[in-house]
Formats: sequence, structure tokens, C-alpha cells
Amino acid sequence: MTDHPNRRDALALIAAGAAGLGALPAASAAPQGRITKPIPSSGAALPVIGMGTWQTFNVGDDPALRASCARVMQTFLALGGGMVDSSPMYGSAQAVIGHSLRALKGKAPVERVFSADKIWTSDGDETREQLGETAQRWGLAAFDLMQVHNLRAWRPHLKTLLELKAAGRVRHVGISTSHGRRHGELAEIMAREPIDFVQLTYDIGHRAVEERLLPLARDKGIAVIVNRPFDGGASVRRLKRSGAPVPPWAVEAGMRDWPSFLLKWIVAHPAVTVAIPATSQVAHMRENMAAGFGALPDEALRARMLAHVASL
Amino acid sequence: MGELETYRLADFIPFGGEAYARLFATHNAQFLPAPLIGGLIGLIALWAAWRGRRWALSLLVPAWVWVGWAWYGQSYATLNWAGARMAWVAWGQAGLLLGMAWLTRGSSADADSPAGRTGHALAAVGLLLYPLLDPLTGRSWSGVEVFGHAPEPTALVTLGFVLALGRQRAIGLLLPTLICLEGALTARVLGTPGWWVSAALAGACWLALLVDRLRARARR
Repeated sequence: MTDHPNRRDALALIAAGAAGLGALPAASAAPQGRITKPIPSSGAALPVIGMGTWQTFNVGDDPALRASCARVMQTFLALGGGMVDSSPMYGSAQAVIGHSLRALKGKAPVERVFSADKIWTSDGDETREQLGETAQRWGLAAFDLMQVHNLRAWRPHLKTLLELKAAGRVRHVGISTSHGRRHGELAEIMAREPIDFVQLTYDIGHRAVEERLLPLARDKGIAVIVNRPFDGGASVRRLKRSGAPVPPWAVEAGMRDWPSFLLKWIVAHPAVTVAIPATSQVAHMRENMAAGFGALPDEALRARMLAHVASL
Repeated sequence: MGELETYRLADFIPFGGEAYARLFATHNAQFLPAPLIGGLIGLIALWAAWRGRRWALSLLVPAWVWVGWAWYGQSYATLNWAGARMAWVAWGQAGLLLGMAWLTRGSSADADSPAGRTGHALAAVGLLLYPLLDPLTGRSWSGVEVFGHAPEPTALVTLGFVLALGRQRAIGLLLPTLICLEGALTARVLGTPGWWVSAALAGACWLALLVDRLRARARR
């Protein structure tokens, strides 16, 4: 689904971003041409490119690096970003997100953030306590999405999260995994539990989720978050090392660089709702966000993209 | 595919290279003059060890207590939730050294033995040369890692002293070796130049211990 397809406006906005952060608008109107997809359970529209925070936002108390993270988030929001995902496992990332949101008030459309975090504790009785700590770090009263991290103690956590959803403290609930782990158990949860989101790893070199999990998500009306869309950066590095340019037919379809190519390939999958690449650099954020504008590849173009990458 | 096979070393490092490198600079600035005091204690301990005084081992105890609290508990814990737990490793090493110093109190070691010479050399490297690694590989002086304040130089000096002065040395070498390996693997994942140095020196220490034991067996 696309808000108002207008590729020219989108490229103009990204170009404005390239001129420096001062040029980025703080207005809350979403950039035109931004691609969104609906969350099946609630119908809310979500921009297809989100932001992960693993490693990149874990900068401790360092003021210079915190300011740098705030600039990355400012770029993300100005270019129409929505979902910001974190976890208590990511060190100081939650606190740095909270710092960035406070620092950007009035300078960037922080109300556009779709807050996504996780419960990460083996103690099934600690759900509310950990959610409270996380909310304090972000500076929020409620979350758009709270997930159970890596299926850890998922039964008691999910039960409590569903209660919290009913009470309005979280708007959606989900389960996360990564690196292709525990797919069998994840599929059982998706089939039986009333979750809104599932988070999993999917990239052009790791496609195991296409067999069972992505079709299941479509059947059950579960939104899909894709983490590690660049395989931790390895797929972009491999393509850049190959020296091959993005093929002209892909450029023509709006994919000007390899990150944009890879992200568009992922979010074009009908079951995928949003991909959450992580970066600590404003320039990379601009590349990532470019994938969230214009048109998505259709099935035939996706197949061509896959074949092309495999041939390199 | 088994779950274990899906893990890579990088999956255990929740921070990036820049944040980690800058953490040492922040750590030094935050706790000044602790790095200078650590260096001074290290020099006194090296002088005592050179003269075969086993009480030099006891000077490592406050160094490990401090590294546990200040580095692992205060600084490193801001980037890694495991930092608070790793503080206990440092404090465990302090306890072991206290026990070793107590058991060897009043006695002297042969500073001219091969193990003694290797141990003193390793301690001197940890104290005087290892801190130069960062500046020599293009990083900032402000983040210099020094004995008694940062884990790896403290571990290297400890390896040297335990090799030269200790009894039941393998027990005393274990935790500092693990700290050197952990530091080296972290640096490798983050692409830090010279990442292998502390692991190689720890390996040399164990090799020296092995040679020393073989020589002792041959003499019997």
C-alpha cells in the first residue's frame, strides 16, 4: 500500500536530507510517496522501512555518540520512518532512544515513532516490571508493540502482554526470533496464539522463512518484521566487493544502490510488513530510507533480482 | 541446523567499535587519577617481583578489586549487561591472588629461573608496552589501557607475576587468561588492529609454564 505515490517528491526530500540535517523538515506530515503496509490485526499503516538499534544505538553515556544517534533518528523520522525497535538486551540502546526522542522534540516528528520493544527475561513473573523499566528509558507511557524476545519464557510473558494489551498499555503484541532459530516452535505459536506481530530474520541469502513462516503469517493475519535484512552488513559488503553496479533495470525500478535493492526485495514480499535495518550513520540511513519510496517490485521483478544476486 | 551453529562471535558483542574505543577514554577521564595510581602500584610491584618478593602478588589484589568495580561494574556495564557479572570474575581473581599471597608469605622466589625471567618480562610488557598498543595502532592516547584500571594490561601483569612468583600457578593463570581471550575476541569482532596481542602473550605464558614443568620433571 502506498500513501500517495510521488517518487519525485520523495527523491527531492532525500536530496534535501543529503544537504544536511538543517534542511530536514520537522513537520509531522508524512513525506509523499512513502510506502506503507497495513498491520493486519489493527489496520494501522506502517512505513515499510523501520529502524533497528542492535549495536548501533548502544553507545552508553558518551555525549558525542548520543548526539550522533539523535542525528540518525532525526534523518529516519524526517524521511518518513516509523518503527523503532529495541530490546533490554541491547545495552544502553533503550536509554539512547529515549535521549534521542527528548532531544528531537520540536526538531523532528517524534510522534511518528512506532515504538517497538521486547521483554527479555527468563523470569515469567517479571513482564510488567521490565516493561515499566523499558517505558521509563524510552520516556513513554505505552508502546505500539511489545514482543517476547527470542521466545524466552514466552508463555507467561505473552499471557501478561495480552492482559496489558487489553488494558491499553501496549497496542500490539508479538514474538521475536533471529538468525533462523527455533522456527518450529515459532510456527506453533503463530498458529495458536493471538499475536499481532512476528519478528524474524530474512534476507536475500537466507530464505528459509519463505517455506513455512511467511505463508503462515499471511494466513493468520500476522504482521512480519524482518530483522538483519543485510545479514549483519555481510550481503551489502559482498555485493559492493563484487564491483558489480546495480543493474540498469533495477535502477529504472527505483533501486539506486545495493542497500535499496536488498531492502526493496525484502519488503516486496507480500507477507512482510516492515524491515528494520540498523545503522549508526546518517548516510546509510538515507540509503535505507530510499527503499521506502516509489513502487515495490512485483513477483517477476523479485525473481529477477534474486537470480541476478545469485549470479554475482 | 542446530541452534548453536547459528551463533557467530559478533552475536555476543552488543556494541560497535567506536563506542568501545571511546569507552576507554571516558573511563580514564572519569576516574582520574586512578590510571596514574594503577601505574604507580604496578611499578612498585614490578620492582618487588624483580627482587623475588612474593608479597608483590598482594599488590595485584586492589588492582583487580578496582577493575571489577570501576571497569566492569561502572563503565563496561553501560554497553554490556554482562559487565556486572564479569565484575565477579575480577573479584574472584582478587580473592585467588590474596590466597596465593597468603600461602607464599615471607618466602622468596628465584627471579633468575626461566619461569621467573619470562614472568617478569611479561609483567613488564603488560605494564609498560601494552599501554602503547592503542597509540601505536592509530588510536587516541586518551583511551590508553593501563594496569590496575583496564582489564587486559592488568591480566597480563598478573599472568607474569603468577608465573614468576606463584605456587599452584595454573589456578592463578586461568581467569586472567580468559580475560585476555575475551578482550582479544571482542577486539577481533570489532576489527581493532593488534587484537591478537593479549591472547598471544597469554599463550606464551602457558607455554612458559609448560616448559618450566617439563624442566622440573627432567631434573627429578
